[in-house]
Amino acid sequence: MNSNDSPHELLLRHLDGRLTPEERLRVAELLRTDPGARAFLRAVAEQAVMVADLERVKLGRQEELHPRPLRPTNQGRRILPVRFRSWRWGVAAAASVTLLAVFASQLVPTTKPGIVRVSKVTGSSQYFGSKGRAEKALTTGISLGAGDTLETRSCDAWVELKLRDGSTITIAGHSTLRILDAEAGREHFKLLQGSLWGTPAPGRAAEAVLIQTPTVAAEMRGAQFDIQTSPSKTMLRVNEGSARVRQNLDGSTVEVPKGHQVAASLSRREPLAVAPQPQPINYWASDLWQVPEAILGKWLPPTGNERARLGADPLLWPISDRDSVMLYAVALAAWKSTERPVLLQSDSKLRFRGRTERAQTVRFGFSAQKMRGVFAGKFEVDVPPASLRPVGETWEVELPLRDFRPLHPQLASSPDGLELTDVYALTVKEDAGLEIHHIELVPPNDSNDRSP
Amino acid sequence: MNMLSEQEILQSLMKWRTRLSAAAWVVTQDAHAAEDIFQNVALKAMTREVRFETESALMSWAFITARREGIDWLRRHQRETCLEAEILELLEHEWQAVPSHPSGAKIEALRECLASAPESARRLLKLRYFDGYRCAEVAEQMGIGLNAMYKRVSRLHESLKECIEGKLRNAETTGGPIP
Repeated sequence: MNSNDSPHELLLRHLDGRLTPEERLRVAELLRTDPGARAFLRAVAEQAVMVADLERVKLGRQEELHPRPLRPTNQGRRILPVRFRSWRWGVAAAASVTLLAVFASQLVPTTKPGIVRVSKVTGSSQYFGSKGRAEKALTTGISLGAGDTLETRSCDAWVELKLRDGSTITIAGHSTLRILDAEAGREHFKLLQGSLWGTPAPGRAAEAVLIQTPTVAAEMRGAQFDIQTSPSKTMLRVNEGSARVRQNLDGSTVEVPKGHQVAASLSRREPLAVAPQPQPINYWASDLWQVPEAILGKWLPPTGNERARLGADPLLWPISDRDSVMLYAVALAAWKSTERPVLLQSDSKLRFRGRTERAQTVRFGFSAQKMRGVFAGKFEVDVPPASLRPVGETWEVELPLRDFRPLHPQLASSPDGLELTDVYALTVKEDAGLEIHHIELVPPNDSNDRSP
Repeated sequence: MNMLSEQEILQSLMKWRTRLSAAAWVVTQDAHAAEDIFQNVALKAMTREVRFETESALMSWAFITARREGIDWLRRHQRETCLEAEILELLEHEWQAVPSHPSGAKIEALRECLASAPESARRLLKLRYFDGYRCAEVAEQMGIGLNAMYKRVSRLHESLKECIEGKLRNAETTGGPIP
């Protein structure tokens, strides 16, 4: 480095990757303490992206004038083609009308027989029938057919479907599943969002099942599997049997054997890659400020102390034979921030940091599945307002997992040994202005203070 | 309170496009990756994976998402993060704190500033930021010493910054040609 370098030149050398470790420390200190240095870096960054924008426009105009694509021959190896990723805007537009399409398609009457039967229902769910009618709630025993769309609406909801060959499919809270026409004799579903678990019938050869998500199409062959999906990302894990998975984006196809997983994301323009399911971890943090992807909640403006704030969203919770109840809930999925299974242990604790504007009981809960297995239910605990003080200021509560009560003890009476799928916090009936800033799963005897 | 509509989200994102892309560039130092990341952020916002009450909530989420996407891009390209999280946060905070001119107006101002700059300056910027060459490679191509190159790039950024700000100020007071 030249000792006469100005701070700006030092920053440019830094961006060039030409500094020694000592000089890098100097740059870090400069950027931490000197607003002028940060202003310069921001100006460089803005100019860099604007220069690239102008060049793309220029190159685009040249291509318009010369119908044959320009292929620079004497320019460097790093030249990249103009890439207006219009497909992304197409995806965005398509996603925004998905529900409309679902409703529109249901206006076509169907006489198809039911292909699945609802075998278990818990919590708030509803379905839109193939004749365009929005049913109030799902009930055990009814049959559903192609064109029907199920929604599990509340945090505590789950629905189990029995297929004709005895296999089961389960969806949990905030999931939307559409039943499609069977394809070559294989039952066919589209998971628009949420979580789905599939289990083949015991003791008999299971038929293949086709599952589509916004990012992949999967053929499950006698597989015990789970799928988590959002409009732009899917994670599929195969615990028994196998699956053939095709990525919608590029058509790449992979075989996923037992004990393996595959992740697809619209953000990554890469072929699918199969990986062995990683070892579980027993510490997990929501890291909202790093992975701001909630499954329920609204993003709130930052404050001086909290940059990442997720506010509770209203959610109507229709209860059979009674009036509907309003919930105000925030929910986060573990799979969105880590590809490793998160192990729950009875002596672990869930630590929540948040805020409420009004004194009110807050219900904290989580969903779990058997480790590399099927859906295992939900667990909840109510925390009185006295423990969430002071009102209007940030509080932190630490809740031992053993204090959470199982909502479905027939599935699992204790969270010990289960895998965390999602975590939520809510208030019932009244909006307490609940917001969550951070959630952490702390393992037993954890001596490291990882509090942010 | 009502949530931002799809149209309002898109309008805000386009207004903040330069700053969001710049935030991604600070992480990746690749203008094409930064553009991709901006599009990914917009896609996530438009596909309703999250909801926003206000523009400041949208921008808080968008800057964090852009950073996350940038770090993911570095990991996939097996490159190291060059700045600490604390510094990235400071930069994002300042980007959000200072009122922003619409991205279109800024780009138009830069276009005008570049039009009056020497051809060698335009070439330098294209080689460095569009073609992705490091300063040492640009210096070699342009037949300049490396130290002189850093001084030149530094001066060029300073003068462009002043020129862009001047044109934006002028457009504000006179209702001039920049939209």
